[in-house]
Formats: sequence, C-alpha cells, structure tokens
Amino acid sequence: MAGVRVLVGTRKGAFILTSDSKREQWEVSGPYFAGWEVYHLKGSPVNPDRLYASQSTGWFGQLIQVSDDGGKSWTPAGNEFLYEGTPGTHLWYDGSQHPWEFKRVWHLEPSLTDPDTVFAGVEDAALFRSSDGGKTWQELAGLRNVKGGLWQPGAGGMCLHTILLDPSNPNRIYIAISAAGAFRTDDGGETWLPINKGLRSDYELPDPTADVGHCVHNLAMHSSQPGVLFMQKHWDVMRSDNAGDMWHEVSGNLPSDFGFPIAVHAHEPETIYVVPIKSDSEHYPPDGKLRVYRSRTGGNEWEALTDGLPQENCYVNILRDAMAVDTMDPCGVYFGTTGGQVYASTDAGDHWTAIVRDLPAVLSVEVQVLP
Amino acid sequence: MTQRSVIDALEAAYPMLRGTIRDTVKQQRRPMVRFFACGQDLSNEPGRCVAAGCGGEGVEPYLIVGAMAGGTNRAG
Repeated sequence: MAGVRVLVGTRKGAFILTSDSKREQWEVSGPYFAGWEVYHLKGSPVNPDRLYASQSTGWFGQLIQVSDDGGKSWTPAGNEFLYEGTPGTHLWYDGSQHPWEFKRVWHLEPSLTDPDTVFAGVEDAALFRSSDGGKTWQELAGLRNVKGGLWQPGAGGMCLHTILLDPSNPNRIYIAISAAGAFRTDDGGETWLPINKGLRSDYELPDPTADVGHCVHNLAMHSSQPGVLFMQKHWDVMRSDNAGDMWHEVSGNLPSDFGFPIAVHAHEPETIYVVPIKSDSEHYPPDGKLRVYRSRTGGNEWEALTDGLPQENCYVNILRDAMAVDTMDPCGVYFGTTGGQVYASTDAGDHWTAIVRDLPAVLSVEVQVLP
Repeated sequence: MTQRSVIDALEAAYPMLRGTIRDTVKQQRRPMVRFFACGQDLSNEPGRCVAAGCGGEGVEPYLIVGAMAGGTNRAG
C-alpha cells in the first residue's frame, strides 16, 4: 500500500513520520542521532529507501549518515569535504578577508537518476558531489570562481542551502547561498553564472543590484516548468521565467515579504506557498498568527491559509528547508516550526493538522511518497 | 607512540571519523574535543608519547571525549 514518509531534521536529532496514503494516522520514530543537530535528510528519488542525513555538533563537527532501509538503520559515510586547491578567502563580517573553512553540510540533494550520486551544499559555501553513496566527496570548485571573494556570511553563516536539479537537463543545476545569491550551471557544474539580475537589496548591499551578495533564502521549481523559478529572498518574494536570467517581484499583497521557505504545489506549477515572517530582526509570524500564504497565480495574489493553525500568541519561525510537498492527490503540504510542531495539510493547504508536537526545533522537512 | 600517531591509526581504520576529532586540513584538535590519558589532560600536547611515562603497563585507555561545554551555532 502506498504511504507517506516525512523526514524531519531537528536541533537534537532526526525523526521519521510515516502514514498510509490517507495521511490521517501518523507513526513517529526517532530520535535518530539523538542530541545531534540534523540539518537535513533526504531520500533518493530513484530508491526511496536510500536516505542521506547530515548530522553535526559543536563537539565533533560533521558526519554524513546513509540508510538503505528507509531510516531503520544508518551507516556513517565519508566525512572529508576538502576544498579544491588553495581555498582562498571570502568577505568576513568586519569587511576583512577570511579563509574558507568547512563547518557543516546544510543540504543534501540526491541525484534524480542514480541513488549513489548526491550533492551537498556546505558552510562555508561550496557545492560537493559524491558518486559513491557518500563515501568520498569532490568539490565543484568552479562555483567559487564567481566572485567568491565577495561572498559573505549571513546571520546563520555563509551556507549553500538550496540545490535544484533540472529534471529536463542533467547539466543544469541551480543553487543558492546566503549571502551570495543564486547561481546556475549549464555544464554539469564546471562553470557557473550568477543569476541575480532583478534582485534588489536596498538595505543590505551598498549596490542594491550587485551581481553577488544578495541574501537568497530559498528557491523552488516545479518539475514541469524547470525554467520557472520562485525565490524567497531575505526580503521579497521573486519569480523568474527564464531560468534565473531575470527576476521580478511577486510579493503582492503578502503581509510581510520576509520569510525563509518557498514551495510549489506538486501538480499545479503556478501554485506556490510561503510563510511570511515579520522581519529580519523579529523571526516570527506577523501579529502572532501562523499563516501559510498560497498564490494560485504564480505570485502577486496571495490568500492566507489559517484553518488549523494557531491564530494568536504564535511566535515560532519556519526555517528555509522546513517546508515540503508530497505528490499525492490532493497535494500534501508540510512544514515544521522552531517550536517543534510539524503541520500537514492533505488538501493543498486548505486545512492543517499538527501531526506531531513538541519535537526539538525543526530545521528541515522532506516528504517521500512510497510505492 | 604519540597522540598524533594514535589518531592517525584511528582515522585510517575508521575513515568516517576524519574531521570529527581534528581539522582535516590543519590537523588541529577540534576546539570542543579533549584527549585524556593516565589521569592527565593531554589535549594540547599532540606530539607527546602516550605509551610511556604513565608508570603503568601501557594498557591504560586513551580517551577522546567531548569537552565539558554545550554546542554552538544557530541551533544552540
């Protein structure tokens, strides 16, 4: 019987939530890697039981874990993320140049075609690829040639947090970095272009329209329209209809256009979701009301989705990797909060239920539909 | 046998531990990791011999432990 598996990374371990196709009753297993921060875990689209997880602590740093049984058991994989050549320097908080130093893996993106190939977005920002199931990692170093010396850390560190693989073109990859911006390769990762035209960062950059330096929080894409990209920037929700060559703002009537995650409906490529947050200094929903906003027009016209979500005294945050959709019909939408709740909607956002509460702060949410 | 050679051997046997005890490039101890042996904190003496000088029989455990402190970074 088909089912749904929700992979949840938290501040103190990973949790796996499973349900049958009705998505009404949920079983919670975990914590896995108890006590460790699990920034991200994600399954292979080719083999759903192949999972990759990124765990870290302030004590022992970073470990990559791999499961071949859907998360029941895990094996440590390779852990050497060595920048290619002389790593060089990037911009530091005080304006000085700072050596590139590996800290942790923020995002793991398994290949669309090969369960042993997986990409890792890391801090300090760089993109790595493994072709042997995570045993060894090689940097796609061309990325850092794109004015890497001008990249600088945001409040959360200088992290490569988003990786989108174009299902129609295996040589095209999009990535995003805080705070450097969005980038695209059309040759499998050898060379990269900054794709930040149309972005404006009036209060974050001395040149508001600079090539690099923008604090992009998240990107999303629908597999049927891989040239159409949606972006939640530090401030502003943006859209590109030409693979990132030019962006335009689609924040429209949102109560705040600051936020972290952005997601696209699994079956409607013009239906998108964001969670507005009050501001960069106040990381909680406006007015203490947790509202997901949905646009069915690809942006600009937004409706608040509130049924089942707390509408008073709610001051949680939803982090950039903590929202995902499933491919069931109707489409399921899921997000986790820094308050430890994971909310799910089985009707594309019209109604919401907390499928688990009181987890550690949720760092990431991914969803798998099982055969 | 020095601490450095002990950790070299450990990492050779368990490659997944590379980076968790010391930096992979500079080979420096991670700040929140400590090395104990023979009732002493040897964390800042990577070249020190750990097989002799303890007054024992060379079978004392060599401990790699997390420091007495909490984690850091955005998740706290």
